[in-house]
Amino acid sequence: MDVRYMYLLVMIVVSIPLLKPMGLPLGTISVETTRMYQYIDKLPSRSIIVMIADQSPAAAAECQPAMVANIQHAVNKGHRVLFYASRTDAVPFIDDAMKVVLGATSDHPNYGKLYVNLGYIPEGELGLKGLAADVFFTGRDAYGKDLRAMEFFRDLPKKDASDWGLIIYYGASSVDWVVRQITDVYGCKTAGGVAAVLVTRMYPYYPHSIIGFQTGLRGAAEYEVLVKRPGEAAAGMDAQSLSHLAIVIMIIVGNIGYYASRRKPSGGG
Amino acid sequence: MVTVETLTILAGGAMTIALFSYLWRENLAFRIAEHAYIGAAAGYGVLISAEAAWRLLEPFLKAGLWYWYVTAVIGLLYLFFFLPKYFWLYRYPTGLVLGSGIGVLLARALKTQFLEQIRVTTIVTDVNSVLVAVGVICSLFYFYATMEHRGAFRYVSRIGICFLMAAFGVSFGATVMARISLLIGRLKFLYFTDPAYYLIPVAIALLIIGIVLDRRKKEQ
Repeated sequence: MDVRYMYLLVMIVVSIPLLKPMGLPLGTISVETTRMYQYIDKLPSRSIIVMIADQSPAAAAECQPAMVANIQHAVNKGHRVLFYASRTDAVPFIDDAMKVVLGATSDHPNYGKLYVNLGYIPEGELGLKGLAADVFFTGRDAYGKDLRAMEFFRDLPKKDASDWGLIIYYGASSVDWVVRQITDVYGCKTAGGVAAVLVTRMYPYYPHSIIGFQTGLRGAAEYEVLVKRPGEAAAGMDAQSLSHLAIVIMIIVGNIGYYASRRKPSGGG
Repeated sequence: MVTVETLTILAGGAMTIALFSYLWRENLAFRIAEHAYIGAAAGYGVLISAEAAWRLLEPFLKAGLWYWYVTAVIGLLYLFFFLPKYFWLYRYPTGLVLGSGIGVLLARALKTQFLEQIRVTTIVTDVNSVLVAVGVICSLFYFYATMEHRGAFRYVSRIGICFLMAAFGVSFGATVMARISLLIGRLKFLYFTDPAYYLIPVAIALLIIGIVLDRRKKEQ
């Protein structure tokens, strides 16, 4: 069978629920997502949540809805959010997420008080280490504003990562460096809104260092339900569920075909 | 009226469809989109990196600490990558970045990814932690090659394989979910972003023309 028929089938199966939503139930909300939600919920008001945007455009479909849902939760609870991008192509996603939740970026009335975007900080782990040691490490934010003049940082006792309430990683590459440089050094717990491919690398740190995380689109949809604001992720879950069903059926049919072909007596000889 | 935003959406839609066209077969539209994407990403990356470097450097220079210019000079040595005669100069910034990176990593990795992992694996609090401990020990035993896996050790090794297979299964399932999420993201953009959806009938028409032309070629 031409493999392109399978591509066509998957395309159709994904398209139908997108064009005509079916409202399939999401099922039980995972413990990992619930624990992350509860942790943010219990943080004292005005706690600092650092959000690292490490999602490439390829991972954005999964990580972006998670980021939006987490910002919404932080806004609801009155937490402070410090954003930064650890890769160049993740920079626009911070502005996009802020616009979705806050309706604005640097022109928001609470920008500099509750929300600050540091923009791109190069060299991944080295950059994070620098930021953790001194929150004024970059000097200015992504829009050129002086960090030392911002109300956001005024009451911080140590001006390093020990002042942070939680650090959330969004991406698909690796979370090890965040745990290494923040949780194990400063005690600030880690959480994640990660692409599903990264989930197996989260579990070794869960629940002692990583307090919870959202797994791909499903995790983001669960978080949207918890913050009572269904959005991008929840809308995509019908397509996700149906496509998985189609893939499971294809795997079963493929295996039946494989075993049937093995049983056939080989001709000749 | 055609605005920059409209053109951006149309370009995004056209690029998405051109990249999807690879599923039918390798073609010119896919190659153009692939090269344009890589070129645009590289150009954008350079711009953002330069802006970030200047942002980090500027406060020091403004404070009169002129010796921070040295860091910019060391950074510019990367450009000697393109000159074979002076390639050796490129090794200096590379060495500095790799050296500092490995130094920062090694200092913490031993604790976080080795000692701490052993410690938390041995803490048994509930059924899950028992499963984790048994899974880790049995999986490690599967890779223990100094002794033949016979008798009771054979069963331990077998249990290890089961845990490994379960982990691979989770990885596979998660990867499928991730890929489908990407498809959902692009299809949502194509279906619901005005005016990207106008490109869909054009793409279908082009696909049909392509298939017909392919068939004719085969018949000839």
